[in-house]
Amino acid sequence: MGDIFTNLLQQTGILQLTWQQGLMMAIAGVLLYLAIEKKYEPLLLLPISFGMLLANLPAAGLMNPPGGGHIGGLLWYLYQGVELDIYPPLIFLGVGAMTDFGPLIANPKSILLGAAAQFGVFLTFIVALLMGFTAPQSAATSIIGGADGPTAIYLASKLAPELLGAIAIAAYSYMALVPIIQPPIMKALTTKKERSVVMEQLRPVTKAERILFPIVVTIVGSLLLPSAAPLLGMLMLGNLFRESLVVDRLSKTAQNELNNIVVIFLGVTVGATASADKFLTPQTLFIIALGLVAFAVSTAGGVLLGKIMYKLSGGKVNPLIGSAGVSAVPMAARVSQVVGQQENPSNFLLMHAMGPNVAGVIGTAVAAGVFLAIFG
Amino acid sequence: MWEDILIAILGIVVVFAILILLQYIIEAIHAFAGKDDKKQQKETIVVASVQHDAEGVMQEDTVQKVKVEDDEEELVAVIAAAVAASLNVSAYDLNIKSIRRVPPYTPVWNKMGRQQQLMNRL
Repeated sequence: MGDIFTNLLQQTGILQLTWQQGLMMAIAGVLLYLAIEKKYEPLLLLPISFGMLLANLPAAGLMNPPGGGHIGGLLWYLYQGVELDIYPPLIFLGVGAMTDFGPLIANPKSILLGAAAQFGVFLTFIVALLMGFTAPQSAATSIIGGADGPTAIYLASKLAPELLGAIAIAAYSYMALVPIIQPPIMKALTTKKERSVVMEQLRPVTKAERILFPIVVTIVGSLLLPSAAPLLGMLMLGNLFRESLVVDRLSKTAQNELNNIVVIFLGVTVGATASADKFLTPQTLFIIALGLVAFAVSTAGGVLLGKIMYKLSGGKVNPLIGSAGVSAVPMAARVSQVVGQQENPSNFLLMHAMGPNVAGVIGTAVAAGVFLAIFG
Repeated sequence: MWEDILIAILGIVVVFAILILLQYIIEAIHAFAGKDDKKQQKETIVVASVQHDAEGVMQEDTVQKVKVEDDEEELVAVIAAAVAASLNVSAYDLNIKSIRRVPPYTPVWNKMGRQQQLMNRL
């Protein structure tokens, strides 16, 4: 009788729980609190933190691969969508169907601000190398500066799968903190006069332009940088669904049902990669610090190019729209709008900031493509 | 180390080069296809606010679908008249805020089904 009780007790996870796993479960609890109470990107942070919790349950083996008589854990199978790079492009399909590229088409020069906001990515790449990361690890970490979750996950799963959990959590945490991180940098780099600039109204965009844009960008972008084709191609397919006006049902599915399903799988499994042995390392702290550097430099890069455009255009461009070049859509554009309105309450920068904002999505995908072409 | 710095410089140059190229492509698309919508028939949605003066100001939003012909001013007048008639108020009390296109909501199979039923009854 005593033996049976001892066996039963040993079968439970309680005795197998290590302090590292306990700590990870506590971290997951904090992230759940931030997602639910503070509403920090809850759509992703909630499944990510719960995935983290599940992966650190002792003896549950949810992330175990099949073998040795076991069929493998549930999350391991779902994780194949991350490992095989299926989920991030599917998320991009939904992002494309939700995104209006009209402001970018109406003001093509704003695409440069999306490029300038990638400065943080490449600068952080060098800083990460100096801190002892390998080149592929540095590339995967630095892409956090692009503020694009799916691209960060895509690149990390290809170049540094061991850092995936930390990179995804850092990327989504900073995206949630855009309204706190960006305004001080924007204000420090601009004058009151620059922040008060009222921009001219954008021209209307024709239907033909809206339809040709995704097709041409896919062809040109993928020919120049084939490694960016999965992300760019799906982004533009989703946008073509939206703009063609003939496949409304597909567009709605890509935006809602499909996107939500993929977000659940992606969030839970990315969180599940953050097991105690991989997450509780000094590297995780470095990644979180490097992410902040990347994010701040990217914001500054966009604003500084915005200042140059302000000078060259004779004061017609408000440099505040430059910070929207980091691609956290549409949060970064909203921050430009809010900071602009603090100087001039009748100023509406939102649509002008959406141009660099969606250009930032393309810019980050291209930056990821460059890293993949070199290290992939 | 120099090689890594070179990679970073190369990376940002490639990002700028591709996005500048896209900028010119967008401008080329505009030159090629930027002025074509005038002659097409469009489905539009009308948002009109109606103000009643009798008992203070009452606002009401109305949505209607109509076909657009070439002349936009004439179209606005027709839409205003139609909305006024359906709401039973004077067109002078209407304040049309915006008229914009909406995608067709009816799936093509529904349209086909309706057409077939109509044809059967002719």
